[in-house]
Amino acid sequence: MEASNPFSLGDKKIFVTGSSAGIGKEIARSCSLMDASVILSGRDEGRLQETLGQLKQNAGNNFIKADLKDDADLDYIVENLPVLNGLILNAGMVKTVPAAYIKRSDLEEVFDVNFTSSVILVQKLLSKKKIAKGGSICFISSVAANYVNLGNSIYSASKGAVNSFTKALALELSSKNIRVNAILPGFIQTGILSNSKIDEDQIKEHKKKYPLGFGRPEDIANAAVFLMSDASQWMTGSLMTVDGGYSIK
Amino acid sequence: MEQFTLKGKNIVITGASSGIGKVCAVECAKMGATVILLGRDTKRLKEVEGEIDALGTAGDYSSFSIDLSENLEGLTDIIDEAVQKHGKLSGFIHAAGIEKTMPIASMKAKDYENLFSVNVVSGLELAKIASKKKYVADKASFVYISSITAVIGRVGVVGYAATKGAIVAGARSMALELAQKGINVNVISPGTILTPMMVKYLDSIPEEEKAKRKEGFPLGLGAPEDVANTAIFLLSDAAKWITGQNIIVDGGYTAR
Repeated sequence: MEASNPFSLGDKKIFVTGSSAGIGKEIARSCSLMDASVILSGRDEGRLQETLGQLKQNAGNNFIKADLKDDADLDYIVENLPVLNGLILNAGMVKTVPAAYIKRSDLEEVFDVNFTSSVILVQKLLSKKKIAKGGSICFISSVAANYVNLGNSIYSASKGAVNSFTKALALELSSKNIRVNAILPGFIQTGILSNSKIDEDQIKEHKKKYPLGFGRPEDIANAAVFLMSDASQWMTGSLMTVDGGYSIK
Repeated sequence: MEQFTLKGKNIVITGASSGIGKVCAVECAKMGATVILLGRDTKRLKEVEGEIDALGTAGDYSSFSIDLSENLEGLTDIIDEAVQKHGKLSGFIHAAGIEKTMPIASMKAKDYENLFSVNVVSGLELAKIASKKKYVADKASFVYISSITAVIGRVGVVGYAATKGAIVAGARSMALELAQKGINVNVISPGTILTPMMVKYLDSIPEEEKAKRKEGFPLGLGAPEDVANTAIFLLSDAAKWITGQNIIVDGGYTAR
């Protein structure tokens, strides 16, 4: 495709957290198919290697093995990253705990992975000037921030925090022409799901709530490509729900 | 990359003779779509055709002159003719719209009716026609151009804002109804866009007012291409799982 395609990511260096599996892996693959240099991160070196091998060849592709909960690892990431044109904060976790059973450690665990680690990473990248002017930051939030499910109060609250932070950061970074947006996915069928404890009947019941059926990782990856690309150069502070119509009922 | 192109798609664009609609038409053609242009002014539609020819992509197009404020009966014939010529429709962009800045004390019922007939009713009628089995492709995407005045207040645009809010609400229910036909429906709500008309308007007002109009947009004012590129994304296969949404494209205005 010609270079003038507004969705092309040629010449962009993009860092994707949580990119050794699931949605993050697909985001990395899609960005690389659009000609970005993609830097992966995750905790499992074997899976990172595997994902790296599945990217479209580009001299800038790489991975950094790190645990985002560890400040020293975050420093190591920032040190080893080039100046980025794109940052996709995808690492996250779900934990179902009814409110009456919530422990401080549950809150800390979920907020640390879904919110705090991403914020600290952004802070460190900004302080080391590792995000280029005209760059784009994208948080992978969740439709659950606004439309809740029983037992997932901590998860929803952590994603709500992500949404608020997205808008505030957008305002702060606009003077550097760095854009900040979030994608709010609905239920995506990934490999992770097949290992989970949710039973098939529950899934069938949940699927009825999706006018366009469940989503695929590609659906989120495509939205991420759009937000990384110059096609969205005037979008900032936007929360983009990608959920097959789940939340419109 | 092919999921972001519009190759093989027939796209109807209303309000295609000027402003955002015109740029949407040219940019869609650039991305490989066959565009069906609807506008009031035949001469200006010809100019848009000329711009598409100049792309050198040899993309096909048709244009039809229609005044959507009064001639909705003509819409079915136009769609029928376009489908016969190009094949079934993969979607539309409803960019036709009229603006009216006037204090509520001076607005008449007729003013509201005019605003609603073009901004809302014609867009809903277009959806009815374009979603008919004989006109719609297996997968299709409908896109409405609204405005951030659907979600924020601005003095003097009560009627206009009401039409834009109506589109956001209508599109949500339409998305549910048309999901079973494989059609996704979304809205783009832009902030202030530097269309030729807006540039002229900004040049006509005192510096102070002009500054006021720009203030509040952290990334400055937008270009018509910013809206067109979002529309292309929503029309493309890349956005098939997005429906019923109001996508805000406003340089950060509503984040504040």
